[in-house]
Amino acid sequence: MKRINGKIIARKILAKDIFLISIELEEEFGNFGPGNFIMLGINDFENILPRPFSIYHAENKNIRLIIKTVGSVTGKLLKCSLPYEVSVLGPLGNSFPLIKGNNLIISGGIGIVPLFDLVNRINVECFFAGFRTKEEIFLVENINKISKIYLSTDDGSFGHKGFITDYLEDYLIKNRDRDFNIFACGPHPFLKKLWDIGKRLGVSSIFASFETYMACGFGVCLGCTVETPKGFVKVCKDGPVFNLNDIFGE
Amino acid sequence: MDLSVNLGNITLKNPFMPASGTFGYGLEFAEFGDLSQLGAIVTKGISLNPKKGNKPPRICEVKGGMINSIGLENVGIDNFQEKLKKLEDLNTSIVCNFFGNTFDEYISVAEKLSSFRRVDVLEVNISCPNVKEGGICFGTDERMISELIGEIRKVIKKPLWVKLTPNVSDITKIAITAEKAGADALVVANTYTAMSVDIASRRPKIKNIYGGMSGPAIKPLSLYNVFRCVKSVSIPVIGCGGITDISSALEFLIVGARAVQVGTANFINPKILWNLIDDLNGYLSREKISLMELIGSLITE
Repeated sequence: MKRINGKIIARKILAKDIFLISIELEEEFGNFGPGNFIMLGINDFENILPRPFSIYHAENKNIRLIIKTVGSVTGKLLKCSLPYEVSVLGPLGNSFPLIKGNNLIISGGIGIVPLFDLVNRINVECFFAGFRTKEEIFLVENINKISKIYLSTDDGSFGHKGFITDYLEDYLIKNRDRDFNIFACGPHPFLKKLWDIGKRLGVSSIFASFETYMACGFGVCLGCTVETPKGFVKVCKDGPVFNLNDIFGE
Repeated sequence: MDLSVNLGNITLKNPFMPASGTFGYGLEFAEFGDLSQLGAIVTKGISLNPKKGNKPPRICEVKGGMINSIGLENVGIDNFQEKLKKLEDLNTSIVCNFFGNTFDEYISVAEKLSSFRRVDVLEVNISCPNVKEGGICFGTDERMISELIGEIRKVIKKPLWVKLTPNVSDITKIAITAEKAGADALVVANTYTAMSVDIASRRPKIKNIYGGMSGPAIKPLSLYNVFRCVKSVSIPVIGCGGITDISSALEFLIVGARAVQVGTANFINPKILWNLIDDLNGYLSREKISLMELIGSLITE
């Protein structure tokens, strides 16, 4: 974990409300695992707190993030004139376990980002990527080169129509005699649905990356606590990757 | 440059320390700098028993600050004793913040804490509700403060700092009461009660509805409270509230704070305390003034 100053030197729109930024750092970022995140700080009185982002790519003194415009900080990152000074703290949190077996990946929307790098590091049988609509699709071409991909949009404007969790469920039912590890990232209801499916079909483990508000990113502010039936967990330090059993299980 | 400051019965190597609750139990920041260089380490508030804290969401950002309602989550005094062992070799003062839900709890924690060799200073958080007296905040009631500080004073020999809540009509009355009851120094001040609403869901952004506001937006409020307290008491005052850079720290020192605590800024830049030490050195040499001359040098005519 290091805090490094840097500046955004390039920005590219990838899809509706989705853009990539490339940050030139003053020092080398170092190694990171798939699922690790960073806290990105902008020097702005209105938004004093840094924000957590998944790492899309990091090499030497460059780090790239893929960002969805959701609030005022992401709005500023989209519109600021470049170069734009920022700070990067990381890598933070745990990462997805690099395990062998029948591995499936499933993402909802922007949740594809922390899972992207996993395709290069473990053997993936199929990548299920869900989006709301055609305009919001990104990154899938890059994944297509490495892994089999199954694509859906909620409105059917591209790929298969419907929720990606339903297609994963079909896949699991068709392969009921086999055991799978599932790697996931997406909105909270998406993960809850995944947990229900996994439980019903006896999937041995589902690892998912969670997102929440946090102030520090390294276990000090105690602001990113999530309540589970077993008690409180800290997303930044205990996660962001959890076995869903530890979040939703009794 | 000599950056040491005398706070009555203890001298710190420089005036910079974290505010309780923003620095964990100390070691969390060891990756960002040498902890022994800091004026002091102030640990997260400790209670007799471990506390789970409040339900999430616990924090939200507001313009120029943040609101938190963590609910004083902590590991309890017995586990804290273990954590303290890891700070054994540090060459800086260790200030332990503590609180209780009742009068008796405060006394028990104070007694236990002061028996730990490595604890140099006890900092009492009086911004807690007294569950035995209808939930009135200890820190807003002069009678309760007087009794509480008086009793704690009787059971401990180490320096006792009292961290005041700013959520009172006249903070100087509270400051004077704490001084009379035996406080060795005052920390001015804790967070400001505040709330924020999400207009889409029409729900408070924090589960507990309200919380304590901190960050650069509260700096002028705390600065004024420090200014008034410094004039009202003769014990040292430690400034706290919204310090994010050297100029805001200097403001507190100029109005008379003998030292300062940095809170939310540790989340924005975990290296801030070390940066402040360097920046103060630079400022003093540039201005050709000693720290002692600077403290309380406010000109009002």
